[in-house]
Amino acid sequence: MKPDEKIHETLAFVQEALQKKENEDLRSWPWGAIYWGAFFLISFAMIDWDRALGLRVFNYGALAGAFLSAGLAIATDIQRRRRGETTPHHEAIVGKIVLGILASFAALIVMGMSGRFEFIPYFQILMLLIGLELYVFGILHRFTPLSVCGLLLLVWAVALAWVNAFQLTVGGCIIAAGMLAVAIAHRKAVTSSR
Amino acid sequence: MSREDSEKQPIDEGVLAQLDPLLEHKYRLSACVMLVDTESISFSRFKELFNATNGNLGAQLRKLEDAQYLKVRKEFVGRQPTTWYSLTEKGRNALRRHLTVMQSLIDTASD
Repeated sequence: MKPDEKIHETLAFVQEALQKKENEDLRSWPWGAIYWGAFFLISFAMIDWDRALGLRVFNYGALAGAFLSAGLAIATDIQRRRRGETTPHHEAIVGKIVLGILASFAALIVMGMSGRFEFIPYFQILMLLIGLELYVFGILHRFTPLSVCGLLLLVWAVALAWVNAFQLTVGGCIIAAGMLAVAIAHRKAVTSSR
Repeated sequence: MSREDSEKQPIDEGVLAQLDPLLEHKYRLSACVMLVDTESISFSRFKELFNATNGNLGAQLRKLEDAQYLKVRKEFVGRQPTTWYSLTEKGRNALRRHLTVMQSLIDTASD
């Protein structure tokens, strides 16, 4: 076989294998787009119909979306791991956290516009969210400094609750405790399976 | 020989010699290319993607491991041993050089 024919054959093989790998990755992408599409459509329609109710739907929808995107990222990560692939730390963590922060800031802006801007409780919820994401990804990727950072953020956000807006953060803490329990259970399952 | 063939640029042997022999094999090149944007890939996943046999794939990946292009980590999932491969900095640099040479060969051939 001539050298150029051999190169051509090798490249064709590489391309085919890459295609096979990428096709499986693409299967999970539409859920995020469907959620955010429906979220904007419904909340804007509701703002038009009843401004106060619509703004509330937008705020909580953005927060729920941030949590869901983190959940989806974790689910994708677990699915890939089962398939025999692991994602680089920076891609999984930075991508999803940036998305979470953007969604949260969008909600902050709308809260500001609606005149119901309460920075401290919202900031606490945001910190809880980031702390949780860092912690869960740290555990999934067995990257201890990240888990520690996440835990510190969580403790800080929870500690703030004793000083300010106790009731508003209680809900966040319950969610945090639930997700921590899931993360610990996952960690135990991973450890015991080794 | 057609006129088109006679007009093709001959491949420079010097450029060919710059290709990394370790990355000439299709399994070895594909494994490195896939590991560029994926932290690690398991042996069974490579086997599935390349449709390769255990023996052949194992031998090819061992060559990359011996050259320190790939880093290997073994763990048990359930009772099954799983081998994870990731690309080292040396492997990443070698792949970059190899692809640059390949690109220049392709450019020469298409001129």
